[in-house]
Amino acid sequence: MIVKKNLFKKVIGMAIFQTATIFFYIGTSFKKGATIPILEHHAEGHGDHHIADHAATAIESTLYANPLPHVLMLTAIVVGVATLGVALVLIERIYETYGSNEEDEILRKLNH
Amino acid sequence: MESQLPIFVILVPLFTAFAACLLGIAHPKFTLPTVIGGLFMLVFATLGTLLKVLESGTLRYGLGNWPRPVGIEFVVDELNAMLLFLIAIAALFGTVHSIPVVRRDLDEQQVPFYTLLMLLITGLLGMTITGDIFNIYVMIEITALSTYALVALAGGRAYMAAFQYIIIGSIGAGFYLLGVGFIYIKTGSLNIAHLHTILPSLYDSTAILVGFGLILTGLFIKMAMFPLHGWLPNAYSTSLGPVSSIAAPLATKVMLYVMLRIMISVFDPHFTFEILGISTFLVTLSAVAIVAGGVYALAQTDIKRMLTYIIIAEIGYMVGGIWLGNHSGMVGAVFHIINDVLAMLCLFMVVSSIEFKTGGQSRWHLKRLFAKMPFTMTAFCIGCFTLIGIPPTSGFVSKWYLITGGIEAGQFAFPAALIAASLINAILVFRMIEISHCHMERAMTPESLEDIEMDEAPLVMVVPTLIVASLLLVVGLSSQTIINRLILPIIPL
Repeated sequence: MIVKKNLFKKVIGMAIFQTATIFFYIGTSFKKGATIPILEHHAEGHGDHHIADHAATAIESTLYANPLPHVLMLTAIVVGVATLGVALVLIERIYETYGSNEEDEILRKLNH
Repeated sequence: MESQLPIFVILVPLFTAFAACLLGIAHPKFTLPTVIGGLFMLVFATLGTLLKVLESGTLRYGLGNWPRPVGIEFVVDELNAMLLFLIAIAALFGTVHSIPVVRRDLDEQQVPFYTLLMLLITGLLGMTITGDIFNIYVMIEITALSTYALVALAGGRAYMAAFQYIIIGSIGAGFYLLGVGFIYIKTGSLNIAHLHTILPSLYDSTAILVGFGLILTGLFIKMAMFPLHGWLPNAYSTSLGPVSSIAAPLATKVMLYVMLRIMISVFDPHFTFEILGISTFLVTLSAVAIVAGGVYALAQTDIKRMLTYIIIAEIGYMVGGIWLGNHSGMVGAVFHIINDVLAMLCLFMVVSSIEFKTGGQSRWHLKRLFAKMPFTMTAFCIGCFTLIGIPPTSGFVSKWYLITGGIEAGQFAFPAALIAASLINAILVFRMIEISHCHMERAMTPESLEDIEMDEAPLVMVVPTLIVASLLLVVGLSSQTIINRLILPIIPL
């Protein structure tokens, strides 16, 4: 990203960096042989019977993948999308103003 | 009602942002009154929080009434409360001050401008008040995205500056997020108070060390600590007056506050200063930052760009003061946060006034400005004296504590850099004061100087500037009260 002069490539570099961080967090949520973090209830229908059952049994946490990093990364993904949007709009404005997408040409136009 | 004050502090600017946007789409004339009303309510809310904290100690508010490690919590202690109040008054004064400029430059874009401004304030307040390290990341991004768009509003050179800021800022936030990830993996918690109890047993873990290092690097990028400061001069000097008046004093200082929080509330002072062993390196780096900021500032003709390099030097004061690791250094650094917010607010507002009246921001636009705009230039002088550190302004008190702290810690590069910075600032300041007092336009003769009329900026610009300048004197004179009530309780050394 630092080495490439094209503005789009810089943005792609930034996106790869953010995606890598998201993968890192998601990777930490896995456990060996774990399944998706949705509780498995014996089918009984809804009602207070169901809720009492829920409170009584402790949940076997090694069976389920950790849902918290997933939730945190939802936020991070949204933030990444918003940043990508702003960056792309800026590239468009820069192209309108300076007629180029290459950093060195733009800096040349800026500096004289 | 009073126990709900912490959430009020966030809800007010957030809902004002939405209200301003919706009302503005319907009737653009309603945007400004909504924003000013919201900011007044915010000032009262933060003042209420400050008084409540002074009276009864730390306030805690769990969102949705979820208890601590499960839910997100807002924690207000004395350090926070003071910063919240500063953000609110800086926002209010900056917004009121920039009404004429917005009317002149941003007429069709008023609604997006005010909405983004309120979102920026929400993000800054959120970072300050939250007690959860992932929530800090969310607020960092809210602040950053609003700032990227606000900087880009100016057009022209600002587009490239905003682009550069986006790339660098996202990397900084990404490092912070990665660091939080490392800490979360090892401890399983994100809540600051909870981490404080879990971490001491994990201090010899490499993952925690790396996590702290990543968080620190991310925050250094975000607070423009030399040598990671490249985005700041371009972003703040090409942006419009209103944007730089509000973003420049606040954004970097709040990041500094986050660093302080992580250092003393998440990790212990024992870990930060004794186990890590990077204090000397960081203090030396701060000394370099101070001198580098001063030297770069000397080379500038544009006043706003010069001020941005001074911001970089001031961040050096505060980072160095915090990392000195002794009592005086930390008191000085925290007091300097108050001082710097007010001084930069005053100076950026003055530059915005000057640009409004004379059409430019370079040093040469200051010619004879003392005659034409005496009130603005008086505020300018008081702000500049704070930079140099002349009593009775607040700059003197913070410099005194920082130099004392440096000498006590035996790190002599730091006090030397501080004194050199005062001298460099003196050159910068007196150069500008000389131009504004003595230089003549070509067409002037000594006799016609008598006829120069006062052509002051509109009242709505002068009054906030003078109030902030007088606050610098008030804070300086009452510094012992402020330090005793607000700063000493939270310094753990």
